[in-house]
Amino acid sequence: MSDAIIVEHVSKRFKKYFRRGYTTLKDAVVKGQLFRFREGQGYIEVLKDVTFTVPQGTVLGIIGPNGAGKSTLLRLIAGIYRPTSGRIVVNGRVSALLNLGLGFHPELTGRENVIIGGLAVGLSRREIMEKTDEIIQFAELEDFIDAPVRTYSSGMYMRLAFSVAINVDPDILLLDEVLAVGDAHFVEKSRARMDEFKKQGKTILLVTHDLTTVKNWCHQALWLDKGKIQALGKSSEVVNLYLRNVKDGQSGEVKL
Amino acid sequence: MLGLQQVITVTAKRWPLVVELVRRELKLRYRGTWLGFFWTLLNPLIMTLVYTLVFSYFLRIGIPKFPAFLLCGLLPWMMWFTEGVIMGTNCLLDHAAFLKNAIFPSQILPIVAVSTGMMNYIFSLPVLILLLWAFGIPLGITVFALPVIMAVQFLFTLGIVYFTATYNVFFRDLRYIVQHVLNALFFITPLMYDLSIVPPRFHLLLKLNPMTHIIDAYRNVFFYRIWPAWDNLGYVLALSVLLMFLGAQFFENHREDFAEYL
Repeated sequence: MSDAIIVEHVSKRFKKYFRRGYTTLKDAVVKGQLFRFREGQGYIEVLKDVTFTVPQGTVLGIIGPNGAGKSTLLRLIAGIYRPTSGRIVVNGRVSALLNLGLGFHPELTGRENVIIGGLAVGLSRREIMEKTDEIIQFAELEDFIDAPVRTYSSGMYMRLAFSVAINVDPDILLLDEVLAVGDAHFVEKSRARMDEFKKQGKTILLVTHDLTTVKNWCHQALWLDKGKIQALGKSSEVVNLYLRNVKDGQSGEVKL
Repeated sequence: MLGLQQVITVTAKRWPLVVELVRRELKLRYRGTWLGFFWTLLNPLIMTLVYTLVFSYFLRIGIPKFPAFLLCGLLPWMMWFTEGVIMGTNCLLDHAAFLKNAIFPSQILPIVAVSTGMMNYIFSLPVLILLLWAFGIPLGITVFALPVIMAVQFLFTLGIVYFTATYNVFFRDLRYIVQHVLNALFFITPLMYDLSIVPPRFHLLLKLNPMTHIIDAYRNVFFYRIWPAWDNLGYVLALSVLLMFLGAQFFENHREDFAEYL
C-alpha cells in the first residue's frame, strides 16, 4: 500500500504579535520596509519538526488541546500554507473542509459556489454539472440553491460546504471539526456517507475533539500538543494515553 | 519550477474554472441593475462627449472626426486597461475567502481579472463600430490585426497585475497608489491628443510608455485604417513578455504566503 500523505520534518512559524500581517505606507517609510514584508520581530512556532506518513485508505484522527497546531497541520497538507521548513507530499486529489466552509463567495448563489468549488479541486465542467444535483440534494437546499450564500444560515452554509467537500470525488479528505455541527438528522446522514468513504478505501484526516468518534471510527490517531507529536498509533491506544494525560492535569484541556 | 511555467500549467489545468469565474464576474457586476452593461459603457461615452466639447469646441484642437478618434483609444483604456489593473490589483484580497479556507489555484485570479476587462472591451466594440460608421469610417481590412494588438495588451496588463496583485497583499496602500498612477498615465498617454501635436523633445518620454503604442495601434486599424506600426508593437510585446516572466516569478515566490497575510 502506498502512502497518501508524507510529512517530513515539517515546522511552521508564524509572526508573533502582529496586529495585521501587512505593511502600510507609513510603516514602509518610517521603518524602511518597502521590500521586506516577510520579516518580523518575534515568531511563534506552531509545529516543530513533525514527521509522519499516512498510508492510503487510513482514517486518521488528529487530537490535542486548543492551539496544538492541528488546524495548521491540516492547512499545510491542503497546500494553503507553506511549511517554514520540511517537506509535504500529497498523492491524489484533495478535498478539504476547513473552518466550516468559509471558502464560499458570499455574493454568488449556492449553485455557483458549488460549481466553482468543484472546478477548483480539478473536476471538469461536465463532471461537476453531473454532480451538482446530488450535492444540492444531499445538502437539502433545493429551495435556496439559487439565492446568494450570504442569505444562508450557518447550518445551511455548513451543509452545503460539507456536501461539496465529500461529493467532488476526492482521494483524500481533510475535515476540521465538522461532525459536531448540524442537526441530528444531518449528522446521521454525514456519518453514513463518511462510512461509505471509508469502505471505498479513501484517506481521511479528521481534526476533532470528539474522542469517542476517534476511538470507534478512526484507524489511527495522532496526538499533537504544543506543535509536537506526542503519540501516533492505534486510535484507541492514543486516545487512552491522551485521556490519562488530561486527567493527570499535564494538559490544559478540560476532559470531554 | 519557474513562475511562468507554473502559471501556464495551472491555467491550462484549471481552464474551466477561469472561464466560469470570468462569467460570474461579468454577471455579478450587473446583478440587480436595470441597465446592466450599459453602466460600464456609459463612462467612456460621457467622456467622449465631454472631451469633444472641451477639445473641439473650447480649445479648438482640430482633430477631424474627434469623437471617433477619441473612442478608438478610450475603450481599450477605460473598459479594459484600467479595469483590469484595478480589479487585478485587488483580486487576491477580493478572493480571500477562497484562498484562506479552500484549495484554490490563486495563479488564475490575475488572468480572470484581465480577461474580464478584455470581455468588457469586446462587448463595447459594436458601439465603436457604430460610431465609426456614423462618421463615415467603414471597417477596413486592417481590423484583422486586432487580435494581435489585443494579445499584446493582454500580456502587458497581465504582467503588471502579477506584480501589483502580489504586492497588494503585503502592502495595502498599493491599490490607492495604483489609482493615482493610472489617473496620471491617462494624461501622458496620447488618448485625447495625437503624438504629432506634442513638442518633439517629449516624444521619447511618450514612446517609452507601452500604452502609447497600443493605443496608437488601435487607432491605426480602426480610425486611419492602416496596419499598426509593427516595430513599436514588437517593442511592447518584448517588454510584456519580460514583465510577465518577472511578474509570474514574483507572484510564485510569495504565493504560499498569501493565506497567512490575507
